[in-house]
Amino acid sequence: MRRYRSIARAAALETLSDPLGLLLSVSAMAVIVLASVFHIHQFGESWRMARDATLSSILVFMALDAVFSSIRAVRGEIESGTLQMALSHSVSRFGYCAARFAGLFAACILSFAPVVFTGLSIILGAQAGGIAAAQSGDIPLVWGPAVAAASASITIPLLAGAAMNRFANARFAVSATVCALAVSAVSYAALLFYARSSQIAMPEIHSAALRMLPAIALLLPPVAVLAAAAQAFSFRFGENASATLCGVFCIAMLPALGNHYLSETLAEGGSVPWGYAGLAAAASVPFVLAFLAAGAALLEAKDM
Amino acid sequence: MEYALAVDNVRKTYRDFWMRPTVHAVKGVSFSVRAGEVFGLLGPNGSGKSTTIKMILGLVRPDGGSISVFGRSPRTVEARRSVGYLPELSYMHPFLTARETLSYYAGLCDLDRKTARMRIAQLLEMTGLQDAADRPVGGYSKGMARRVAMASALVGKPGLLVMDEPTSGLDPVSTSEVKTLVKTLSAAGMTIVMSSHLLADAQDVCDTVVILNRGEKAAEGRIADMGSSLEEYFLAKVGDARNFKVAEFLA
Repeated sequence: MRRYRSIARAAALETLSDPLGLLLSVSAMAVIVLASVFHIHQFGESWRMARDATLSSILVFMALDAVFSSIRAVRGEIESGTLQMALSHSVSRFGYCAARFAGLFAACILSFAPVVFTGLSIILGAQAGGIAAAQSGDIPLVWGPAVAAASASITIPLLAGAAMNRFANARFAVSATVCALAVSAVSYAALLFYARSSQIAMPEIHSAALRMLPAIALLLPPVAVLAAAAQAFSFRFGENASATLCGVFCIAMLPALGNHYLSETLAEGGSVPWGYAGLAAAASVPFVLAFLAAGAALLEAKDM
Repeated sequence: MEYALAVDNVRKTYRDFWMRPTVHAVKGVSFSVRAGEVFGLLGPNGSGKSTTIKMILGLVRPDGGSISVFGRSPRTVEARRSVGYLPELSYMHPFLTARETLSYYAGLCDLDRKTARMRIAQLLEMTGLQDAADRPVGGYSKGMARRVAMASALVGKPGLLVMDEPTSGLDPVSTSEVKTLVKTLSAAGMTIVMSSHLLADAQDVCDTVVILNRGEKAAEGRIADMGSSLEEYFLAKVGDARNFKVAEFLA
């Protein structure tokens, strides 16, 4: 088991060290903030735009991160020879594929946890603003702090990562990701506290945030399938061919990826049951296992 | 006779995407290595040394013949448990530090945390890398990277150490360090298989050698039986150096 833990840890560290993941998560946060700000100030739209932007950004950017991080890492391992080194030890091909996938997917989730907190902050701000405006007829109280908190979740980690890299020789992308997680979580908690102290109708806000969580969890299984597919393809094909195959596969999966139905459900005040998210995760397991087995078979046949 | 490694009539042909043969890399090579021996796999560039080594490690599947490492096929996970590998180029994750690299390989060798920490400290001291242990290996010089690769190969205390061109590209001091290390490990009972095209290095450390040429075994024997000059013996078996027609070209 220690062998596979080592492989998973190295894969996670490799994924987190790659600035691509940070770039994509920062882009996702920026899209959520900008789309929501533009929409609310331009059209006075309610929190629905923030919710849709959060769901779409997480799905699109996280899928891109999972696919491209998988491909870059595997091709990098093949070209640099570290794959040879790992497989010259007593690890099975399937175990190697599974451990590497687990590490990569865990790193993707860690990279995108700040995006979730940022999205929740923006939703809270937009919704609390709407409620506050409806209650008092005043301008929204929480919207401004929510945008400030989300912007801080983008800028502070980048500056902190750069400072850690400059003064402590720490890895820029890893430090920035960890810092983004801390700043976005603290910002969200502070915003909740601020909204509560502003005597805004909290139960409604809480239920809206809680309704988002299973919807977000529902986005993870297709991303996991895509990551496993990208890994399997890249054991056999080059970067461009693997990316193209993933694109084709993604188009075939599009009906399953659409979060339109989720948004509709949430917009009508309904919630996605956790059991449904669990069912989706269970349904994705055979696909992930099939791609891991395909990756192992391609590795087995590969002369290194 | 106890053999650590037995290679019997192995063949390997590399093929392109459409499975058409491109290179006949190894054509029916056989040899065996006794436990505790330093065995040299010699030959000019392109003679099939690296392919043979990769087949011994289970990284390349032979088209025919058989290989046994401590009685098991190298494609099995169990056989690779007792094998350490030093590749020709120092393959490492550039984002990991030397300590993290060794910790990674200690994990792959299934060492528990306490043993791993102790061995990593010993290996860092042995290779003189304590001061640079927490710097990413991507910024290391070739010699330093080679020392990390050597430490990585040894972290699991393998019974069989396979070294592909261990002194290739190293300066004389580093080359001498590697040769001393090979002799020390051999004296401690480790079986070592090394490939090289540097005959002086092989002559200094090997007990037995096989000379490969164009994928075939050209000669095999103990170094002591090959006369005073391994180079003369090698050229006699492999053929004289190519005579480039430089004068004609320049004219």
